[in-house]
Amino acid sequence: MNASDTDEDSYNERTALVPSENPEVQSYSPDADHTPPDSTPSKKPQVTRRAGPAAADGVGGGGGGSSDQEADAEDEELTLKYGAKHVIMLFIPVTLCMVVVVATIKSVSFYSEKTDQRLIYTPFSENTSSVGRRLLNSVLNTIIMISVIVVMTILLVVLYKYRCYRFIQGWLILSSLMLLFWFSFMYLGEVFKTYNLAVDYPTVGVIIWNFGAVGMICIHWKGPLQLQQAYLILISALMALVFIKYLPEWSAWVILGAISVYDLVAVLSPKGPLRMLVETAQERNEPIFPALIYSSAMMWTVGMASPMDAQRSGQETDEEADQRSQGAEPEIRPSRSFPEDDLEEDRGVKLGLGDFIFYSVLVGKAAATGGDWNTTLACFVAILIGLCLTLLLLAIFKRALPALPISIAFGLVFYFSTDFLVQPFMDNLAAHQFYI
Amino acid sequence: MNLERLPNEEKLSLCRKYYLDVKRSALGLLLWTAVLTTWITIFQHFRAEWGEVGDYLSFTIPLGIP
Repeated sequence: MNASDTDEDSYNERTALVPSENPEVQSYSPDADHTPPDSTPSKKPQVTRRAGPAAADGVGGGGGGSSDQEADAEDEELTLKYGAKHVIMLFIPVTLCMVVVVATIKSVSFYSEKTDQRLIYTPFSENTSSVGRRLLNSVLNTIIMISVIVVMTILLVVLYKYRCYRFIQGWLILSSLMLLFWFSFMYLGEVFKTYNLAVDYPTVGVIIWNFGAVGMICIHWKGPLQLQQAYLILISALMALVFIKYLPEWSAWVILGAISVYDLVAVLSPKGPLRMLVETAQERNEPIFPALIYSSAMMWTVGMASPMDAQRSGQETDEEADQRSQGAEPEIRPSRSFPEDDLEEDRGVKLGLGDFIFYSVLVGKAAATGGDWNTTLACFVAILIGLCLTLLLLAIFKRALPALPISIAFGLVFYFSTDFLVQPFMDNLAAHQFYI
Repeated sequence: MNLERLPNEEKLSLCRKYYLDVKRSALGLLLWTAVLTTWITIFQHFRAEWGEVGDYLSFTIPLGIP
C-alpha cells in the first residue's frame, strides 16, 4: 500500500505538535515574581496566564503583594501534589495506547508480517545484500522522512501564523476522516480475518459508520471528555500500527532517534517551528487544535455542567465561581474573582498525539521484532520513566517541553541492551536450569 | 450560556428537552439492536447456503469447511 498524502499529513501534524505541553501548566506554582507580565499574580496555583485577565480585579488585587514565604512553601507542596497527579493522568492514556498496540501486534499477525511494501516516504529497500548498504538505506530513508516532517511542520506553523484557520481545519478533518474510517476499516478487517469470522458488509458498514461519525464529532466538536480521550488514544494506536507495519526495520529505529533530536530542536530552539506555534497560540490566547493534542482536562466551559473540570479561560466571561460566591448574579462582567473553593479545579496536562504515536511505535516494534516479553516490558518501563522525568522537568521549567527525547532515548537504550544482553542471558539461564 | 445562571424553570425545561432526546436515543438503540441481531443471525446461519450472494455480501470469508 502506498499511503496517500493525507495519511502522511496526519502523521506529520501530530508530530508537529509532538512536544507541546501547554505552557499553561506553568500556573502550577506561581511565584509572584515569576508570573508573566500579562497575568495577575495570585495565590491560587490554578490561575493561569490565560485566566489572568479575567482575574484582574479579583483575587489579584489582594494576592498580588502576597508572595510570602508561607505561600511559597504551600505552593511547593501543591506543585508536588499536582505534579504527581498529572503524571498519573498521563501514565494511563500512554499505557492504554501501548497496550492496544502490543495486544494487536501479538494477536493479529498482519501487523508484524514482513512485507516489501513501503510508504512512499521510505523508498529505499532494506532487502539488500550487505549490512553497510542496509545501513545506508535506512539513513537515507530517515533523511527523507525527517525532511518531509520538517516541511510539513513549517507549513503548519506558517498557516497558523497567517491565520489560515479554515485550511488547517480542513486538513485536520481530512486526516482524521482517513484515520477514523479507512484505517479502522482495515484494522477491523484484519482482526476478523485473524479470528476467522464471517462478517458481512452491511454490519461492517454500520460499525465503521458509527465509530467514525462519533469520532469526528467527539474530536472536532464537543463530546464527553473521556470519549474524546478514548478516540484520541485509538487513533494514535491505529497510526502507530501503520508505522509498525510499513516502516522497514532499521529505518524505524533510526527514524525514532532522529525524530527525538528534531523534537528537541524544534521545541527548545528560539526559532523552532513548534516553539513558535505554541507561543503564537499563547499570544492569541487560543487553544491549540484539539485534534492534535491529548488533554487530560476539559478545554471549553460553554455548556459544560461540571464546574470542577472547567478551565477558566480568559475569553470565558461567565464564571460559576462568581455565582457560587456571590449568589444570584445576572450580569456578565469580564473580571471575576476566584473564590477560595476553587482549589479543586484542574487544568490538566497536555501531550501531543505524536508522542503517543512514537512511544507506541517503539514498544510495538519491540514486541514485533523481539517477539519477546522481556524486551517489550523493558521498553514500556523505560518510556514511562522518561515520561515521568519529562513531567518533572515541566514542573520545574514551566514551559513547553519536548516529550520525545528522554523517553525515546531510554526506550532505545533499553531495547537494544535487553535484546542483545539480557535476553540471551535469561535464555541461557533457563536452558541450563540455573536459578539466581 | 452558563448552566448555573439559568432560572429554575428554564433549567427544568432544558432537562425535559434533553430527557426526551435521551428517550428517543434509547428507543433508537433498542430498534437498532433488534434489527442488527436479526440480520446477523440470518446472515451467519444462511451464509453458506446462499452461495455466491453470500460471498458477495461478505467482508471477510473464513477459511475451512462451514
